[in-house]
Amino acid sequence: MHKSSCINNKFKFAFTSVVSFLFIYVMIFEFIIPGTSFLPSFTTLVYSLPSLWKEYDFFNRFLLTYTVVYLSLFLGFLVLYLKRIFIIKFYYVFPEFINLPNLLKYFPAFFFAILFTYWFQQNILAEYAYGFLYVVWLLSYSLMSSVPSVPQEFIDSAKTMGKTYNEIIAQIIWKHSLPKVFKRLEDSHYLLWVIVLIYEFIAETNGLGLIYKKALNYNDISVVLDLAVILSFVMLFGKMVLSAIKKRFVFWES
Amino acid sequence: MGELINENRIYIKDISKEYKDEFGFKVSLLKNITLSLEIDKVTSIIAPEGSGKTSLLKIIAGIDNPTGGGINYHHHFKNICIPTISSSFPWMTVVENIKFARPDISGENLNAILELIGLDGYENHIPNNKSTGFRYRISLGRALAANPDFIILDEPFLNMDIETKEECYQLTRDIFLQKNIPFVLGTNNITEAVFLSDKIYLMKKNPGEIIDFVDNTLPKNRNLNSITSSQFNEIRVSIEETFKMKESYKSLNFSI
Repeated sequence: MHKSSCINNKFKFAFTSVVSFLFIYVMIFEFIIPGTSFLPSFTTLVYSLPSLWKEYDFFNRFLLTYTVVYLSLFLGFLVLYLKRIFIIKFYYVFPEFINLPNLLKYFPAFFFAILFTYWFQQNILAEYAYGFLYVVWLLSYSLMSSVPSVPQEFIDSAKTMGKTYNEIIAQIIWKHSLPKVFKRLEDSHYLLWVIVLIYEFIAETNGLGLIYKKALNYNDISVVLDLAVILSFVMLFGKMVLSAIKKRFVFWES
Repeated sequence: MGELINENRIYIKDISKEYKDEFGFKVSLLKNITLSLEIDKVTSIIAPEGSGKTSLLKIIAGIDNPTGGGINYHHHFKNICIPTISSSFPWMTVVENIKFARPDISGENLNAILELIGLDGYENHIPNNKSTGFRYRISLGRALAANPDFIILDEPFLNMDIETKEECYQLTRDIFLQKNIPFVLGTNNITEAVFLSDKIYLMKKNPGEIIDFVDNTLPKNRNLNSITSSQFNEIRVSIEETFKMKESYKSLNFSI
């Protein structure tokens, strides 16, 4: 099957899943077991939307979280691009570095969110730094771990043509690793949303995580669900944009 | 020795390559390899798999060092290596791949190379997912753009189907005759070596050592029909017999 039709099918499937889930939700909580305290009915969800917009100040908070996520992705990738030669050389000097995540495997992911909150309290810049550092770490690690898979034949060919070490890194190793790095970027996009929301929940910064925290304090489960549905569409759209960028600019396979 | 070194050849003298295995024991991969590569010939090195062909070709290409012996030459030679996996870069177009070797190439020179490798009209194609033959042609074009003294081929036809192999054999031979660029071919395929080469070195394994050489008497201007000729068959049989005597017959390839 053609690669682009595979991607389209993937998104069709994701979109259909969300819509199906909503349909099942409506059927169960609107018609089969309405008025249960377990989950609110669909009508209640719709009626709570204006309150999400006004009382929870959705727009401004959405703007902050959205900016943190996508600015982190953009700047993280930019830094990776500018420092690609240094990062690849770092791998050649310390190849054991790529085993480091094995040590951190059982380390709770939210620990760093707590640590940042402890250091910077509700500082907005700290939230940006948190997202940015997460992306830089993830992409740098992804770049370093894809270096060993560069075919020796590519490097030998470049060597026989008199290319320098830096030219081989920039024109061969970086380019060959790019599809894997971009795949990691796509995959970690969802994870980035989650860790930024967790950070905002813990640090109580002015983002969507704070809406979750307030809604939970007010027992406002309708807003929690509204937000979940809105975010799933936003994340899906973000993933579609990233896939389109990959298809356009990183069209080859490692 | 002095008379062996002139501007028309590279003289490889007593090259050895050793390495340590996982238990720390010294293993001899290449032992006292001596051969000469002439600029008016295609030279092949036929050897079974695992005999150190790639290591030897890397040493000749100048991207690996021997542990003993050396290469003697009259002036510095520029040798371009085309490895087993044809290394056309899948993120570059055909033209960008060729320009990788020589960024300033353009116009007539570029078109001449594209025509020679049979890729005129494919300038903006990208080799991602293209056939091994297409990628070999790009590698060849890139090597030609670099103005090499020798082009070193390390089993580049290994993963090709028969039709593609035949096309690439003829293309390689034609380029040698048209451009006077000598090739050095490492292979385990006797038919390939006899068709393409003017001089054939026979190398055994464990350790890799030259056991004999053959001056190919086939006409310079040959085509694929010559593979079925009796002269071709005689050369092939004599090579097979030599390998049989040295017990290095296994893992050689006898088909196209």
